[in-house]
Amino acid sequence: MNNKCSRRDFLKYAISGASLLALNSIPLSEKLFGQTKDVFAEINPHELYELEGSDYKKLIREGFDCCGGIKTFVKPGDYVVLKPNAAWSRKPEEAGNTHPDLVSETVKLCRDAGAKKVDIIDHTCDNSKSSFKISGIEEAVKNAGGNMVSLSEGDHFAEVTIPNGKILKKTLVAKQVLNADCFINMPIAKDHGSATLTLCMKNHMGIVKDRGYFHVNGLHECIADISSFIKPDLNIMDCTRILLDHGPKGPGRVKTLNKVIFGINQVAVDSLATTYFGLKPKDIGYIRIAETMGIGKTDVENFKITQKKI
Amino acid sequence: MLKKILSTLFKIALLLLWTIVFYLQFERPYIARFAQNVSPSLLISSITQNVFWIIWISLPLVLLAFLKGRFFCWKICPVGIIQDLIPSLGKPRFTNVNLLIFLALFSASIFSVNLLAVFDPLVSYNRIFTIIKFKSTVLLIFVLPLIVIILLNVYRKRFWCVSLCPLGALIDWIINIKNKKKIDTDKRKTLLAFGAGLTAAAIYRTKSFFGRVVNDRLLRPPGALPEEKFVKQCIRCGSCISVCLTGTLTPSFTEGGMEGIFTPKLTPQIAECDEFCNKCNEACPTFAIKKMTLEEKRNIKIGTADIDRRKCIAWSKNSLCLICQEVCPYLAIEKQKNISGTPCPRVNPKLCRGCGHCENSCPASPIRAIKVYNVDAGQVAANQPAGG
Repeated sequence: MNNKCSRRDFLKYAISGASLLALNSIPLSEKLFGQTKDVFAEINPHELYELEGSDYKKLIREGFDCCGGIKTFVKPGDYVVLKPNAAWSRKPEEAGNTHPDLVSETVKLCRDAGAKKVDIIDHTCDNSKSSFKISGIEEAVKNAGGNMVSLSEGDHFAEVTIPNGKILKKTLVAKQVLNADCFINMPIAKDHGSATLTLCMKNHMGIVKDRGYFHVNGLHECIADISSFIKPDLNIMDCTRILLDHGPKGPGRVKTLNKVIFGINQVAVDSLATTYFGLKPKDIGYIRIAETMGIGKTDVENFKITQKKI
Repeated sequence: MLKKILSTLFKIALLLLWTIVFYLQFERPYIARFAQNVSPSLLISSITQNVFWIIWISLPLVLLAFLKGRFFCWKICPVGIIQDLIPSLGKPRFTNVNLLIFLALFSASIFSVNLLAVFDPLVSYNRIFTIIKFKSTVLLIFVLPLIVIILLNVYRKRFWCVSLCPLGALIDWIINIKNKKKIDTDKRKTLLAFGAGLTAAAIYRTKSFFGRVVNDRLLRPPGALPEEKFVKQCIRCGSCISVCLTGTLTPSFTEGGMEGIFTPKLTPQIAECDEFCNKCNEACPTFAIKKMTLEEKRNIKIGTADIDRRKCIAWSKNSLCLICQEVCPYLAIEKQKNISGTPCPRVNPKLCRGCGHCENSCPASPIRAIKVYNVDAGQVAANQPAGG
């Protein structure tokens, strides 16, 4: 609808883009030109770990051990950014947000591995004070030594160009993600009104500024475009309990699965999670498009999935 | 000299104490209610509004007036201290105009807006915190009474306290009763003062006199009294606006007519009314916004949302949007397929509370497709279906 960029917008974007380049030229170029970290070399990106158990903190510890230990991802002195879903004023049992235990344990592990700073970010949909408090994430994270950052307050965004973007070519992304040495995506799997399901790739909408653009210009296409640019070092999908309807906010029917998926490739993780809802990966628009763009594979049958019960 | 410095320091300390007490309302909204109800002029005006709220809390000041006369005005009142700290050109001159002003404001309070409390010094001081919250100079108009008080002080020392302040007049009146002194006011002046109050009331109520101007977009805070009663009972202290979690409450100007000037309004364009916040219900010193528990507040209607399908990008452009359905805390937006099979939003007015979350996040531009109107405001909404 509003595809044109007004002069004011143009100037705004240009200035913020220029300042980003001036400030963050080194990490940005790394992200852009795909200087992958050694993590990718060690682990098959389509290898997934599916852990099951009712002690959520233990699931995280075991999960990292399966992936080669936290040290593979976090080096001493690293700046770590976690992106859980903390966007809604919903209690943990209502399955609106990532479970606080998962987030706090990840923070703790990162801190123990020598991370300099751990930022937990989200561009909340509800008021951030309210949603951070009610989701229980703020308190859990504070005790574990993390720093909660609300992208809804203050200016945290910088403009980026998305080289493989078909519709979304430029957008404002949180600086934290661009500057991070290690970026861990921690979504919760749940129903979603317009995108059918919200999974790893959909969670990236919580680090961009203008979400309305996605909805106006083609939701699934834009989600796939942003996923071609943002490649988390690790995806931890919270399937401890999943929301089956009235998503993404709820309250709706909640099903307890007690599962957590660890994986490097976001498309692969998403594909496995869709099966929990009784759907096929290709039923979800953005997973289908992401496969055609070559971000990852969706043939769940051929994945190497390591299951572990705790 | 030393004594003077010491007394100035003491005054600054006292002003700081007042500021801290009022500032606490940001964390504990009920402080706003207690701190302002200390003033007996709110007690008097409560009688004009048929509401006998926290009477006991203003008793200490009444007692102080009996024992020590104007001690509160000279030594304790924050507005008084501000005037003391600012230099002035003239010496104080005592008159008894303040009694007439008190009478005028009293009569205005009976027939229209609660002016007696609007010009109370503590309430005037409390408005500063609205500006602190918004950090906006435009809102200086909101503290106009305080600015006028300070300017008058430059002209003549404590001009406001001595000749104008309604609270001061009330204390003077108590002193007169104590001394069994008859108040020597001329009958005509008394009548004139009463008439002036009536005129003020009439000007304020132009909207009611010349037929109601319906503004269906004027949203009041959750649990506000019906409009007529609300504008009478609200003292424009700005506490609800200061404590509002999301910042959706802003002072209105002429949206509600003259009567509604500086009353709080909900602005979904800025933010939504948070589902788990009832700070304004706790803060309101006059109960113009009803005192409510969080659960009661969650079910009270502020208004009802309505979708313009020609502007909605799902209905008219087949976009996958449904942001309003995403953000709605009360499951009031239902999905319905349009002719092309795109899921589109539809409002269930029974569940909608009018919090404005949908309007706030609607991506349709330049005009939002979903808007909240003050339809059914104050009614209790149906409960959401349990477990979806």
